[in-house]
Amino acid sequence: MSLNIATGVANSSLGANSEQIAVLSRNIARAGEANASRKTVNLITTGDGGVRAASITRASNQALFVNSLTARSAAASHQAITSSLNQLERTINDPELDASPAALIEKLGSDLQQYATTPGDITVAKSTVLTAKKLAVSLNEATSITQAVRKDADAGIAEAVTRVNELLRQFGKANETIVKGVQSGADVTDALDERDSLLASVSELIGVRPLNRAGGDMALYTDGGVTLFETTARTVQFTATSMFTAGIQGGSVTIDGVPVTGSSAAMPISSGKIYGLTQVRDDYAVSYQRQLDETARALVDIFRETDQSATPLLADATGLFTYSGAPAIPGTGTIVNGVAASIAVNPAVDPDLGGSAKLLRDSGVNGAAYVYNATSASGFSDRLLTLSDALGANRPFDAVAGLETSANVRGFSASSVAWLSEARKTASEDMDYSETMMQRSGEALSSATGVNIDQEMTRMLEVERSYAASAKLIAAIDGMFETLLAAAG
Amino acid sequence: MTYFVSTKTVSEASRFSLMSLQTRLADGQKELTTGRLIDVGESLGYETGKTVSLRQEFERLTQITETNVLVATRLAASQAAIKQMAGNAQSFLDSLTGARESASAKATVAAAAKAGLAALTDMLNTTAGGEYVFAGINTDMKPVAEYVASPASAASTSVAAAFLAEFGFAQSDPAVSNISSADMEAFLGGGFDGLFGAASWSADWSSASDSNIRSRISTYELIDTSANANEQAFRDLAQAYTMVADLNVETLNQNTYEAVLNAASKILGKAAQGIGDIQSRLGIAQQRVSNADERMALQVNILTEHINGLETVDPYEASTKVSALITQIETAYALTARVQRLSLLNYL
Repeated sequence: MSLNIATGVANSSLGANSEQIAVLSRNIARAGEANASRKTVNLITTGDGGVRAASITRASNQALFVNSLTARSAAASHQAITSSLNQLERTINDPELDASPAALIEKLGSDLQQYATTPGDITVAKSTVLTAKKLAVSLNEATSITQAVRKDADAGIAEAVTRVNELLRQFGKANETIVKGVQSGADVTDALDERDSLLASVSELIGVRPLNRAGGDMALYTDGGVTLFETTARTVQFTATSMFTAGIQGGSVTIDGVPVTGSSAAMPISSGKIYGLTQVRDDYAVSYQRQLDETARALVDIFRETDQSATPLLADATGLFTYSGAPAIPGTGTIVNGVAASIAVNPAVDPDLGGSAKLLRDSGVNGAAYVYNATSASGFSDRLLTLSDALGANRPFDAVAGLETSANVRGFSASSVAWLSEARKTASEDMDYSETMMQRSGEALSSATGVNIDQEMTRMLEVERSYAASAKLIAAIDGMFETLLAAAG
Repeated sequence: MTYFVSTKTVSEASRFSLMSLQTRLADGQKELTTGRLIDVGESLGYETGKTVSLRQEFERLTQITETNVLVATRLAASQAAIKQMAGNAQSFLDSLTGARESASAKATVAAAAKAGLAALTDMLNTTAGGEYVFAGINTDMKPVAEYVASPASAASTSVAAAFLAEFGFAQSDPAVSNISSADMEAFLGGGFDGLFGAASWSADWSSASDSNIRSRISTYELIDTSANANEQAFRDLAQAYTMVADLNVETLNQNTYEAVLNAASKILGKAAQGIGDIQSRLGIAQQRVSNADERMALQVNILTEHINGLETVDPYEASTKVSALITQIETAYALTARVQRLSLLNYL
């Protein structure tokens, strides 16, 4: 072996060392990034005995990566559900504040009891009507909150869909770079990192399953099995609904025309923010709205007036509470969408609107035939006692509300509170669990593929030593040449 | 085998755990100061329905207890008035017995009857809380008008008309001294008695309603909580007083005078019994109200306990939880500081 060859080997070592230092710097620089993976230089021995940095590989763990995607999707859907349910909770508030429709129904019952004891007291009559107004307003407000939650969810879905399309487009670019890079043997590790990071973002919005294919290519499917990306990005489509009222259904998300949310979806998605928001929009908020509507319908029904003539001819009509379909009484045990939105105290009874609060005691909102207190006796309490009893009497409720089908209106509204609270509790527990899962799987992935600065520092020391040794070697060879030349001189 | 851990995991782990510890500390502190669960709905889940129901029940019972105070006041006012009426009736009866023989007592007895009638009217017009207690459900109408009034009351006009129809002259006519006891008895048992029948009474005397006030005194008890001026006993009292007060007994001959007194005594006896019935009826109502109150007070206590049991936190538990959390957070801080110092850089 000649000294020249030795110089060449030492030189190649210097080159390989610089390459390693460069990669180490890249690792350290990206140590704080969530999706950065650890890169290592693969050295090979060349034909003349030197070394060469052949390629750069990155630490990866497909199983852990898929785990973390799943956990992300689940956490995102639970977060969406929890935050929406927390908004619905505003309709109830702390039970101590007695602000829920359930508490106000009870307050109305108490006021009726007070009024029945002092039927001649106009102040009590007015305060009872005032409570009835508060109750009507609380149902109206609860409806608008519920529908606002649905609208927000719908807008959230639209935003998420736009974002998914954008992410898929970027994903396509990164994928293309990788496929080309693999063919040409270029360093694609950074592109791989970017693709993973895009995939993580997609998984927050929609449950996704990646499939590695030959040549570095990757295909994406939703957790329901619909193709999301294969060579090219599929189009995710969604039309937002401009206005929500009870009974209006929102649009569904489609991928390449195939619905993946809603009842018509054959392969529905089951995680991700879009899934969570759809659950809120089509499930939780709809059930809650139905419960509000049923509560309102029961109230309209309870305060109905019946023809008091000796031979009653007229149909029953709405009394204290009126709604958009007044004066007809809504059917028994069947939901009527939107009653909670339109329920109001009849203007004829409302002193603020020029009505007479005494009509609550005497009835006759709908005309003389409906007057219960024929002699206008100021101590007439029969009607008030009947109404007060009716609040506690069992009546049929529509099963679609998801609560008991026979209950008194007090109990029904309390059950509605229970239903919402239980949904919140469950959702919040699910969220805690899935967030912890996401945290753990993220940690596991990061531990397996991330950068440890200490390790990189240690490597750097090694490389430094190796560099110093190579440099020393070159100096030694130089000395040998010098000796040789001097001897030859 | 060496276990690899990335630098990010190390720092993230302490950040994440600190964050969750701090959230829990904030909640714990609030629970400790308010003594109630931080978020009742989320903590109790479906049991929130139970606290809402319990609160509904609580509100209902409290309200009924409050309205029972009004009911009790009305009953007590009624009882006091009735007791007074019974006392008056008894002393009037006593004076009738004494006044039988002496002719000079005629005027005294007539005056006593007039006073008794005025007092009866007054008692029947008793109010409690701005409502006439004997008016039935017509609580805003004065049940009985003054008998002696100007212009003449409907009641006195009817008596005068009946007298005229029976005897052909007015009460003030000197001819009344010629009325025989038999004729007078016929009048008192016939035309005069008819004036105090239910229909004439409502037309001439009373604006009260026959329907008594009904009150809900507990969640399931709905009872009558008043007597009304149309009851037989009150009509009897008015009848006895009126026959002595307004038939010009001063001018009647002795036999007829005694016949009037006998009739009045008989009716008063009957009235006394009726009054006793009313008193016991109202007494039972009072008893039921106070029983209901006692029962509801117990229920309210139990409900309060239940609500507190569901919604409040054990102060000792909350306090230990908070101190445990503080220790944990301090440890986490110390650990974070140490981990941050642990860098190879410091040793190179």
